[in-house]
Amino acid sequence: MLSYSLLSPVLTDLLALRAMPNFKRQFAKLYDAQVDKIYRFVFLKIGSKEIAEDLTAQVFSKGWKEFRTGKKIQYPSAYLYQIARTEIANYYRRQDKYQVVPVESRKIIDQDSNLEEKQQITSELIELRQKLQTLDSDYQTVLILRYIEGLPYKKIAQITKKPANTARVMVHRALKALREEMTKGVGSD
Amino acid sequence: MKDRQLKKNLLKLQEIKPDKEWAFSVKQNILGQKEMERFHLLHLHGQAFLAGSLAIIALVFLAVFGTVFFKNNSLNSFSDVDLENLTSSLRGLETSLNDVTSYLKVTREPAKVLEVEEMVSSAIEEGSQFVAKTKEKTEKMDPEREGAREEVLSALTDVEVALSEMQQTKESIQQEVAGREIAELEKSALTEEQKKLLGEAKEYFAQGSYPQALMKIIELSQNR
Repeated sequence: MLSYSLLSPVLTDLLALRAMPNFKRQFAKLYDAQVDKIYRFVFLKIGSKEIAEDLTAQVFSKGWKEFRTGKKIQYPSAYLYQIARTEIANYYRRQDKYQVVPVESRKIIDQDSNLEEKQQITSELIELRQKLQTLDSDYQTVLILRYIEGLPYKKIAQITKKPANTARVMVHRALKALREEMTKGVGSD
Repeated sequence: MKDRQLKKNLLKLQEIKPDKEWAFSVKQNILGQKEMERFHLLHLHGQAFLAGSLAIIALVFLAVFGTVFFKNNSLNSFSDVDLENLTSSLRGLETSLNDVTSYLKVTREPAKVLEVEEMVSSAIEEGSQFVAKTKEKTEKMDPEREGAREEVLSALTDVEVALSEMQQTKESIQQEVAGREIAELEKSALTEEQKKLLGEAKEYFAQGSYPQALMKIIELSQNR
């Protein structure tokens, strides 16, 4: 029998200490791959850096609670988006936004100029972001997923829990709605 | 506005990204204390952390190479405990590779990006050879020990993925940093000599030779 002596015991201990359990490593990888996307998704729908940070942290915290139980999650990234949608809906419910404020007049909560500067978003993009936020929530979702994150319809269908064809139609309608909003902006200037 | 332009503008909203420190701190809080310490180290002592991770990678290469390749033709004579140790070492190796990738992701200074290029490139090259050769040995193992064989192969595949992520991250960070620096320098008032260096940097950049482009950028910055 060949002993594994060349790998010194100290090194083996060090490596064992550094190695995380498998599910933890998998979630760490999922976090790294998705944190920008989930944050962007929430920020675009909420419009506030602080609230987007809070909600994004909650999304991953809830995702981790499910993940650590070892429960099999078939589409982990779609699952995170689903949690994000629920968190956003709950946030607006808490703010009583859905019932009281018509979609068209929903205001951008935070126009932190420092943030805009940091993220180098031009005025044209700020306007686009604002117009996007005036759209119906489902329209916002599909536009973000399709044209900002570049997801295929199949994936959008998993996230929105709708058939792929419905998702496709929604994307087209949402784009049309956004184009009309953008045109309105031009006309009123 | 035409749909094409609208889609193009929507894509630009990808520029919205969370604060990196915030993202790290959330990850630390969620994944616990050990992770927190690792990333704290990474933030505070980035270069030392990188050197430590690369040293561990090199040690694992050396130890596994020594054991597997010079002493034995196949892994058949390994006991189950030896194979478990090998799998555990490969898992540790994967973690160290991921540490290096995380470090690369937060490196934004051209000089630092260039500094780690050589170390990381050689780790990738050695790592790829290491994985290929170890896989070859593992595949020759006795089929009756399929469970242990699969464990080692799965760990090797994860190491392979970690190496590939490290390679991609290295290249994309070099591209991002060089691209950003070039864009900034283009807006600056430059002397003829500096303009020449910038032209050379742009040429390298266009050819996808990002380390060379970064060298020109650093040279230019030193002349400013």
